[in-house]
Amino acid sequence: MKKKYVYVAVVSTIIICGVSIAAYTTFTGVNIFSPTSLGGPRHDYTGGATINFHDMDDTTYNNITGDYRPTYSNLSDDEYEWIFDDLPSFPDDFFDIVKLIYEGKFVKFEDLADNYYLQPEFYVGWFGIYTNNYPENDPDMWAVEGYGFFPLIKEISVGRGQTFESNCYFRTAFGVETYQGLVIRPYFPATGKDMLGRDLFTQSEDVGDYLNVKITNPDDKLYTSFKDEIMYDNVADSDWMVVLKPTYTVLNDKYGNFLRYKGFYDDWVRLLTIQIDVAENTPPGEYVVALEVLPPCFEINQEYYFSTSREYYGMYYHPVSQIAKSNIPNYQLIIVVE
Amino acid sequence: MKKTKKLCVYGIGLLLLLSFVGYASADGSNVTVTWIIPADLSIAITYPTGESQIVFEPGSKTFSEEQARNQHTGAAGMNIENDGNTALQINFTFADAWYDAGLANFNCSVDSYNNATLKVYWTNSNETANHTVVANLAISASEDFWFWSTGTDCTESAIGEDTETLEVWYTNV
Repeated sequence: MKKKYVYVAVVSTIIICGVSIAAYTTFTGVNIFSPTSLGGPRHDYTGGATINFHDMDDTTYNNITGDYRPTYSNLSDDEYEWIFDDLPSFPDDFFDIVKLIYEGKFVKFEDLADNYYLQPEFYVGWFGIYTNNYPENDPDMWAVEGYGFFPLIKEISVGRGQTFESNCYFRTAFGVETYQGLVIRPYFPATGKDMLGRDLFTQSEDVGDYLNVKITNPDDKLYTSFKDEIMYDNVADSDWMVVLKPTYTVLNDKYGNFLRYKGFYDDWVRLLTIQIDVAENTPPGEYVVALEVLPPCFEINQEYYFSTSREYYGMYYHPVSQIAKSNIPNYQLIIVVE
Repeated sequence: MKKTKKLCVYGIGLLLLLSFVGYASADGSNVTVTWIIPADLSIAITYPTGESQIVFEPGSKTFSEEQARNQHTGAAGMNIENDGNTALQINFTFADAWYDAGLANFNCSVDSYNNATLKVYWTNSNETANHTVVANLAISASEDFWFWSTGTDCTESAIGEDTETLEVWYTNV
């Protein structure tokens, strides 16, 4: 009889542990299992390139901002307000969560509250850049273009016949003064690449027969002319246009005298969601979906340049150029179909 | 005893199953594993205030060492800042052969207005040459570039200008 109780106790404990772990993993997005215990990613995606991680863990209360934002020795009290005032409060566990993300242990980007990914401190380069771009910004120069995706590469495994969504963050670079108009287009590159641009695998030329890809968020599809209310006929249905907000704006008085500058808008980073349908007859193997960034068409640009009914017009509207290029896509989603 | 083992095996099996149910919802429904490469590849391109590209406005068809509009010792013709979290190599190249055969020379100096450091040339016989202008641009670092051009009896297109596309290639190192 006693033995029976022991069995029941053991099994109950195991079940409770299992349910707890599953619930924790599901609801927090934190993978408590070491990635290497599952065998690691399919490829060495870094290729030897060095990625800098966060090494801060400052959770000191900041009396100026009234939250846990780090203190910056060269910012005045006013500048804290100018730069960060539109952003949500800085959480006290910010660096703990960010560390988990950079270590690949928190992967449910759609569940991450915006008071994490909207903070410039989320992006490692910020700490070395903010001085030049904000308190010591050079009035003889202006940053016209700059954007980035995070993370650079994701690898996922899925079964045939599944539909799933994957997310990344898309943001303006620091100190950019323009409203950048751009079209984001998913495409199937010929190869998956590592960070150095070397080919890791070649995907089937028939990939388009098996994977159907579309961007589902942000959902502000700007294909209809806001002036004439007609559809642009030269923007494909799979393309998405986004206007990225500036991250540095000079505010002058009516005489042109400098009053102050403004830093971040509350939507300077966008959560980008890609939905992928994997056909039932997809051959098992590796596939890659990438995102490319293109300038909007002439008609859209004309509208933004010359409209005075929107906040972004005239010289502050900048359709992204295609002069800046990288040897790897802005974002790669490696899909392993099992 | 056998029963105990059996129960334990079932229990452990259930635990593993439930754990992977958690994993399965990692990045949307049905995704079993997600690996993240937490790199942030991003640059910001800066021009002299009011410019959004490099512009030359020579006063005649023949010109020598004409410098980009609004660049001067205190304002580079272009600045590139590494906004991400990996070091970058920066290369410049022209996308195509120059439209205007009269454009004889285009050069760029890095780090200094007075060409004290690296100077990169393109001529009308090697306009698509790929030049490394910065071998290793550290995280959060930026680099200034100044531009000059030289031409002889240059012609104009129908719209009164000639556009050549200088590409900026940035790659992780």
